[in-house]
Amino acid sequence: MSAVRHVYAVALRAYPSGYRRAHAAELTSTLHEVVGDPPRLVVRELVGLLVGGLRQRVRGLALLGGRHAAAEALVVVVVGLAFVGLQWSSEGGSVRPGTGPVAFAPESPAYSHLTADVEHAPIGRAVALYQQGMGVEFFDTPQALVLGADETATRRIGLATDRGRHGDAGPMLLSPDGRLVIVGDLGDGQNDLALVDLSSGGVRRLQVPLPGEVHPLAWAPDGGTVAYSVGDGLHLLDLATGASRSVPRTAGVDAAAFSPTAPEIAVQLRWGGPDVLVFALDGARLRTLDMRGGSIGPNSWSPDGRLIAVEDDGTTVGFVRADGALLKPPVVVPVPGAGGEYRGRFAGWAGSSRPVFMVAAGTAGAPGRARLLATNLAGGEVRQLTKISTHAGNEAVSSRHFAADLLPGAGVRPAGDWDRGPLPLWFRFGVVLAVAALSAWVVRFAGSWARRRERRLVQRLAVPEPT
Amino acid sequence: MLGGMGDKPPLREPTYFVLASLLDGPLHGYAIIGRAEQLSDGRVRLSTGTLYGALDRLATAGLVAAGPEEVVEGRTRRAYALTDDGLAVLTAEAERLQAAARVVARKVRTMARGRLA
Repeated sequence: MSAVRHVYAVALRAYPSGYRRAHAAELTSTLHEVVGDPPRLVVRELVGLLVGGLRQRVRGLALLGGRHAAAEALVVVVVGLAFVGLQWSSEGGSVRPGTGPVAFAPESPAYSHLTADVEHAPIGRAVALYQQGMGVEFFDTPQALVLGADETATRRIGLATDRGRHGDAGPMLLSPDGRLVIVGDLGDGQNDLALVDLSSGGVRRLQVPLPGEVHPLAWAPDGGTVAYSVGDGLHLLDLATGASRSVPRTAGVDAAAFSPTAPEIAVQLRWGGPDVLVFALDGARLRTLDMRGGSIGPNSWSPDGRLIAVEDDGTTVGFVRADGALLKPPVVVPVPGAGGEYRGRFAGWAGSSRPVFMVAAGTAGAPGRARLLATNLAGGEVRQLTKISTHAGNEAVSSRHFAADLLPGAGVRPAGDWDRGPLPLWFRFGVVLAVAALSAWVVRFAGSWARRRERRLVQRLAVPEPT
Repeated sequence: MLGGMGDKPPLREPTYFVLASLLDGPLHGYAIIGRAEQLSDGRVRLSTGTLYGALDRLATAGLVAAGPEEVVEGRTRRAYALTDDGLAVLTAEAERLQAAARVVARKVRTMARGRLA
């Protein structure tokens, strides 16, 4: 077939298939007589075919009847778009875990309802885990989020978000290597700790021996053991076997931190006064440390095993010797930028003498950003690793956890577009339904217009009344 | 005033000449295109798409009748004939145009006489 014939053949496809079956041979014969043989490309003929085909389709719409056509179109659009949407949801969105140095983006992603769950779109390794958002009357918006260690990516931890209550996400913790998140239970009867694999999105549930709230408190540096509280005390969970054992005399445990260099764990009790108890991992009580009224967190113990960081009133962080000896002179570091509405919290260690702090609004209404700062015990340079927008106040950042193994050497990567994973299923179905509804309305409107037009044309051709 | 002008819209020129081209007897598509161009002094040059759209509407309205499809010299053809209703519509439209032309011609003549006086 010559190119010109092909062009006419394509233009003929503007006609509905039924019309083509009935009239194509006759129409083509006439066309060939008009354009000659071999055929010339006549623009007027080409436009005539396209417009004629379109008019025939409009006419067909009118003859079919608007309602029938609209219903058909609605079904076609809904099924087609739903198919495309589902196809899309099963593709892409995964990040492979890296092995090299990690980096923060200069500005972490703003709050969004369209971030994908890590269970559906794995993120590989995460450098940070935190809650953003809070409960506002009947509009609770807390989300558990992770920041990718290897790419400018973020994901929601759907399981931790779903296990939340009263405006908070469920209790959670990030593993030292950034590959796992463990999620507790706020007494909803789960009686387990759920281990979310950030590389695969898979979830493994590990039963705990007692009913009640389950709070993961600290992750051992080798990644094999998690300290958690349930019932009336501290328990140690062996992730390889799923077995738990309790640590005696730890009733009312509130916080814990593993030693990176020895088989020891520091435990803080709610009514234990100013002290922290240090236990051997076999349960033997080793010593008591005076925390001067401050509190510890999962990453408090320094990488060299020498110091434990102690948070106090939100403006300074103090440090005590882990062996119980007095630190002379006492080391108390003011958190840069903390004060007033902004509170400084200890986040982890970027090195044995390089604490990392997060400074964020301490009250819901305070605007601004949460900033992650690396500094030095000896003073000097303060390096901002990232900041998170909390401009609306109710997007406050809380429950912050950082991958202990990844903080040392963590850099800042160039700013880039955030990979939030594929759009959530509910959003895509919403779009599909909206498009389907709009299409149905347009088709009904077009059908009604086509029927009016057809009536006008027939009226114009009506036989005149005899006079 | 022109009687009946407001009752229904006038025929479009291409439709008018498609009907007019069939006054001398049935014609197939290509012949209708040529005859309409001739009758309109070259004003109406129908494309194939426009012609068949018009024929389709006219057949639906009962103003033309399509004959059976036949193959002549390797080309598929169908002859179209003017029906009685088609003749009536065409006649009415011709009378309407004639009346419209008469009104203007009369007025022009009156103006010309006024200038001479």
